[in-house]
Amino acid sequence: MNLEELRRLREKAQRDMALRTEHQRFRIKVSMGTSGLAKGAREVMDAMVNEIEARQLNDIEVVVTGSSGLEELEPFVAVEEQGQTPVLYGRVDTPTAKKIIAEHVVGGQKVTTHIVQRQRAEEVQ
Amino acid sequence: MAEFQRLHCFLCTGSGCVAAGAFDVRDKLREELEKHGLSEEIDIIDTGCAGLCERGPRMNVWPDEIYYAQLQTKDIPKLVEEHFLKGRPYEPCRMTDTVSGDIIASEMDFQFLSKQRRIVLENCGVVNPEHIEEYIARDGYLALGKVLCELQPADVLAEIKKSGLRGRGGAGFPTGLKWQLLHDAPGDTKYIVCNADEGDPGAFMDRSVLEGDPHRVIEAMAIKGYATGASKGFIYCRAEYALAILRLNIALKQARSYGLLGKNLFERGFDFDIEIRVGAGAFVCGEETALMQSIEGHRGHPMPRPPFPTQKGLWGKPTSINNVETYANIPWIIRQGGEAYAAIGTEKSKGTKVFALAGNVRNTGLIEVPMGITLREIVFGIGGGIVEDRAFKAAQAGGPSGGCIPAEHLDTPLDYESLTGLGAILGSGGLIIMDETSCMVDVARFFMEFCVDESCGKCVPCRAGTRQIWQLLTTICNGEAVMEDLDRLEKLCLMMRDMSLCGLGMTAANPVLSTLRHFRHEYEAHIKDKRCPAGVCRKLVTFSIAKEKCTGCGVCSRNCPVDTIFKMDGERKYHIVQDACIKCGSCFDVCNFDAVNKE
Repeated sequence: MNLEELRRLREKAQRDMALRTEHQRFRIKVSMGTSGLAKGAREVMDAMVNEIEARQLNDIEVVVTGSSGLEELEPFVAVEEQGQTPVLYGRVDTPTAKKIIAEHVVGGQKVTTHIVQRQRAEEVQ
Repeated sequence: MAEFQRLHCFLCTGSGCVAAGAFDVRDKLREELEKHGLSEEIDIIDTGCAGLCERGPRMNVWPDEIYYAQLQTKDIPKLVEEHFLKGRPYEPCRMTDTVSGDIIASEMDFQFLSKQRRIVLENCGVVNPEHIEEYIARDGYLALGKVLCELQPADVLAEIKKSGLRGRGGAGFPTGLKWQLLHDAPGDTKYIVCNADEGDPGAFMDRSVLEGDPHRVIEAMAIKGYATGASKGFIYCRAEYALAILRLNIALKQARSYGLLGKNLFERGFDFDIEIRVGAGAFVCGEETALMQSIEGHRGHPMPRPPFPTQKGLWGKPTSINNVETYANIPWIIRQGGEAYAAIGTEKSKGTKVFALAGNVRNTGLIEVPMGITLREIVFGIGGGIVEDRAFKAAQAGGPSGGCIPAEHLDTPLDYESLTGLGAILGSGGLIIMDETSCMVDVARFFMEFCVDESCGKCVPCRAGTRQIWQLLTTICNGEAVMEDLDRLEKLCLMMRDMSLCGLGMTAANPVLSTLRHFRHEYEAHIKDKRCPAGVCRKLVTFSIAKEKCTGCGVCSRNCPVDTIFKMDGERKYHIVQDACIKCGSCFDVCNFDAVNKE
């Protein structure tokens, strides 16, 4: 091994371990309370994790949260991008989950069909 | 790229946590993750020790930054379901602050962790010691690469000298100078050795480094090999450190497979390899001449110096020995520069020191702090204060070769010179905190007993001296001594210090000398008043029951192991029959009404 090879190996290893050291560019929260789980949050989460893996993305963390209290719109997925207003998606199913990764996280285009408006959320509550 | 795992769980698998059941917890975790179909997306990573052994088995979960402590297998199903499946941290197992009782939300909240400065332990608890890639991700082997590709041996020596690093095994010899001596020694074959025969009671920093970050020591030894012209290294590790040896072997194999050990490192024509030698656990083998005897396959006996190892060491060749912790500083120094290292610490003691904090403080464990930190900051800051808010009495530093620091010197900076001035030594870094319930004579006797067991027997002053001193201390503890015995004790100690062959014998009397110096009044109380002020020495303690406080509940009687607490006829009070009392103190501990007197 020479120094150049070591540096390359280090960069690769650092990418694999990135999750542990700093906060990522994207934080995706899947609400997995009882009602979320009942409405398929588990499958949504699997779909997202698989999509992230398939696309080899590594600046994302996927976090599980509890119920939001707004059971009707479960499962929720919140996408928080550093420096941006968080976007909340409701009634997410597996195709939508994949779409969120593909269009929002990778493409930068929000999936407007499933966005839960902050205002509306407050009204319902 | 590795598969995407949304959670990384760092499970401490240092010896402390393993003893507390970390492997069982890990197996249970795997089983539960499997059951919930989560094994693909959640990674369980074995790491080395993060220092809080008392609260093991510990686990940190990233990126949530949740700290769990004292996990038991029975908690795991619930924890996996709540946290990993539903995303709610499992509150009952979360780590709490020992002082406030609050849940610890971040490392910065917990003064045990936030007040440390980690160089030696920077990777312990953060990387998986069995994966070289994780060490490389944390800049591992970059220092070796830099040294081989960009520096001359003289530059390396200059950098180490500039750092002001001194030996962490106890004596504090300047490391740069030690390396220079080996570099200057004539001959083509030279050896370097890593002393991992850690033997001081209570000290376990070397073990933690080897278990938690073995590559660090390997890298440092290769750097030393290049700087001094040695191509062969030995790690002398005691057999009791089975996990350390296992991980070292894994690390050596991985380093070889990546070409970071062996022939032609970094394509610069430098060869270096390391062999592990397992010691049988004799304390004296931590002494450098005895250690070399043992590596050569002889009985571990110290030899007279000179000749010093750099003149005539292993198999008659120039040899240089450093301690694990000393080596563990090297990669950082090369990467960050000697000046950065010298900026930490005091004028003559640079850098950081790892202490094994033990005794009567709230937070015990392994801590790394800048040199020159005061004892007060350690005890009342990192340590969280004395258990039950009792009064601090003394700290024992440096194990059986060290001495004690009494309360009036709480603000002394901890470095080589100030401690030597107080009759203690920095030593390997054992730090035992004692409060008013510790008897200093008993403490001195404990360490002397250790030295009696561990004296190799080669020279008379140590072999006979330790036993005589121990006997004198026992007489004092039993209240059978006379005042002249104190002078005799002191004379014996000084004689041993001046006449013993090796460092073990020369320093074995230090605990006695330093307690005599700072706590002479306790010795005198044992002799003159036949009284042990701390109530530890059993022969001098009497337990009795205060009639006015006794409610007759009988809990003392039920707990007495020798059935010597009775109720008098027609009375509702208990009393202790002194003849049969073994002074175990059970009655004192169990009484709810403070009715048992200890005096």
